[in-house]
Amino acid sequence: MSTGGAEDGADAAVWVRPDGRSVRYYRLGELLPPKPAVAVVTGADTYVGRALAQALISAGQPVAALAAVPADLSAPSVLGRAGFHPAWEAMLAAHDASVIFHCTRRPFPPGGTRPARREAALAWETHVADTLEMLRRWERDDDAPPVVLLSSAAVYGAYDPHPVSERTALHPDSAWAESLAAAEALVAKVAPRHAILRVFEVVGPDDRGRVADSRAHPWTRLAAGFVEPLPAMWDCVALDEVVAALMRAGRHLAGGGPSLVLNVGSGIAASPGKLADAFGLPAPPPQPARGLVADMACMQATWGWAPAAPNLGALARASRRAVQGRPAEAPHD
Amino acid sequence: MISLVADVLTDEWVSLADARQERPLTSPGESACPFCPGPRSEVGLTPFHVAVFPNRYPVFDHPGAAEVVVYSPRHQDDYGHLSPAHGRLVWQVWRDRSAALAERTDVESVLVFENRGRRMGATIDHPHGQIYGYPYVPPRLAHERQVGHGSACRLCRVDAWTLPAAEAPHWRLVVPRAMRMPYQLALVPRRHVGTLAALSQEEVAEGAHLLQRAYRAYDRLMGYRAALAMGVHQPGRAGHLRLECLPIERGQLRQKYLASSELIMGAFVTDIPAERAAERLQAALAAESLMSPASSAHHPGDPKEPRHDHSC
Repeated sequence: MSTGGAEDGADAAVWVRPDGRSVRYYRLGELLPPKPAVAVVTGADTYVGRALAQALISAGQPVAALAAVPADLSAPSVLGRAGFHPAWEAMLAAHDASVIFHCTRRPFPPGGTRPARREAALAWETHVADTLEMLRRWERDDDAPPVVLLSSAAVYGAYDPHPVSERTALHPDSAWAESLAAAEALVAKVAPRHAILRVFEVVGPDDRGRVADSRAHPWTRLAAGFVEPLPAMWDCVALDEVVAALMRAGRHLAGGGPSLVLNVGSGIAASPGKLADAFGLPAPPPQPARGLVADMACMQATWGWAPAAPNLGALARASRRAVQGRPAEAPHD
Repeated sequence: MISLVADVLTDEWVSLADARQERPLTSPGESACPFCPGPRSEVGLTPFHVAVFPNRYPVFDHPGAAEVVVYSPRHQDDYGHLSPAHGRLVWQVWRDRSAALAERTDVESVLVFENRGRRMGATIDHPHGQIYGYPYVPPRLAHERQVGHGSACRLCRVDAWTLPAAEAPHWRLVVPRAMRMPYQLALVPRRHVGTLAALSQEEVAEGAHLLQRAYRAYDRLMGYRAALAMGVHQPGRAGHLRLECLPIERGQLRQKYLASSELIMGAFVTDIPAERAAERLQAALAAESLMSPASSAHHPGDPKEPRHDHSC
């Protein structure tokens, strides 16, 4: 056995057969030049997806992003969905995906006026068809990258007992939740290494002042002046906490960790050290319960406002000012 | 014994290689496949993803060359159903070996090709293609060097004589209006390059995926592993590279035979309008998106009994 020289073109292992004929052997990785490793973020224009992509970039992680609308990221971005898209394929072909963050989006606002069948079709197209297309890109690769799926606690339906655990049976009670549960099943079956993060109510503004994907989101309604208690107030989780959990899940899988399913929100609130346990990190110091309190800490950092106690009226006014781009004023409550 | 015989009426060369009568035939799954790894096989026991060796029954051999490219150690694999990285490796090997053969003084032009399926003439079912290093320039390639030269290159104006089947940043996949075979496709780089070696890494990656997608689209269209001829036209600096897929069937199990007009006069007859072929191929290609290399474990097999249709 020898290695072919320059006159043979690229290097290949060569075996000269007893009859004098030579056989050249090529193996994956020998002829293909190394490609830059990137973290792939789908849904990079969404409320959580964009915050994640920005956090990854800030941490020095090269990112390749897929966004339905321009996300203004300092990273190679392709506009489109995770389904068929030649430009997306070209970008993937030019990079080595070390981990895929598949950030689902809510394709329609809850309580909208679309017919239920239309909403169901949109939900299944967004969550199931697009997820399947994305996964099939790597289905035959022996070294398929790990997938972190941003799912939702909506797959539990109206959960009880509280807090809900990951072992609780799924009872999705809407087309959106059903399609998310199906996307979870797809990822679990097709992606050899995966992390499914079921996120509870995500709150807190991003750097654009957005508080959700949808204008009809309860928190946006609150910001718009609808002073009403949120139905799952104490299951809220701050946006930065969700981003941190996604990044930890990515590092966990990229480091060879096993697949996992994790609640982000209620479960963490019930057990502050749970995230550290799941990812094998050092136990954190005792923290206050997450949820609305954590979100208020986020708002304090963003808006310089620190209420002594939750006051939805003041919160609504401050949120509205932030969303409308006005400077925040200290409330007089 | 290999010899080149000149046809004095057409000034074309005919290669005579009588040893090719001894070529083996294997059936699907046959344990004695000469391209499956084994102590007595052509590829030996060394692990590989793609292997290349001189054809034991060559058409050309000093002058010229004939090589076999085995796409995979797995007998049931198929180029269209390999992983994307594996598909790119096949193209890299084509590029590597084309460049190496083109450097030889006894080689005038290089053809990378695959006879896909036994009905296309493949004598061994194991996934493989071949590379011919011709000691002359075949007439069709000589003509392509004329029409693909410089600013008048017709392949740079491919939209003028084809219908689109699929678009990509670096390549066009098109249906020629003058199809010689039903559902014929041409894969043309947008950049004016004349050889595989001149392609960039991005062009190789995208082209490899598009060709895999075309194979799978044919399978989807026919409902089984479609028989076809695939060839890479490399006119060199004087022309424009293109890959060509020529299926031999006009529909499910309806074979298009090359009959009198084609064989005697070189005048092709087709009975499927290019518009209809493009429409069907667009749908099949859209279904076989770039993202979805289907599992080879599920790729459709060859049909049992093709229906012979002599009404061409």
